[in-house]
Amino acid sequence: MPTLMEVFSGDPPCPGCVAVLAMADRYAERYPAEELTVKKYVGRDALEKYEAYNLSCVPAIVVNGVIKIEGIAPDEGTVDNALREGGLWIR
Amino acid sequence: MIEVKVFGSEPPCAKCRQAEEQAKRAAAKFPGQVTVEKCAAQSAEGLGLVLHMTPAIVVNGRVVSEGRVPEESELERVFLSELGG
Repeated sequence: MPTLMEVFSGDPPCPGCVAVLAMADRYAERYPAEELTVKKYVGRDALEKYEAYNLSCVPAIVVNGVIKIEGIAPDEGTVDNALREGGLWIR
Repeated sequence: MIEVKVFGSEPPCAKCRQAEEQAKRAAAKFPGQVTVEKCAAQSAEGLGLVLHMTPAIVVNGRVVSEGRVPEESELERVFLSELGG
């Protein structure tokens, strides 16, 4: 079962959102689909999921349904740890 | 009545939330005289204002801050001048 990484950004994106979206793309390239599923929610399309998770601000990263990052743009080490906790074998 | 609109991203980023809360705190100093409304920067109204950065605070149709969270005292001064103080 792949680890699920859901990334939330506002519209228009703030600098933190831009950074997190770019990071999501890098993870999607680095890991095959059978290991990691990356979903991006931007702007109004994000509102339904955003409210479902009861998030309070963006950027945000949710791993396997658990909020790991909210309101800041993390570095990759922090995201690696969050994904590792979500069962992803980091390399 | 002073009309304050806080334009931000949807969903809101941390700064957009702070700007909204700051506007509400400043408005609370002028009970019954100031209304604060959260608006989407990508709405027709937001686009019409040609905002360059979010959050943006608009007081009675005039952009008073953009791309930052203003101090409460700064907003109070704006409200006072709008009230003719």
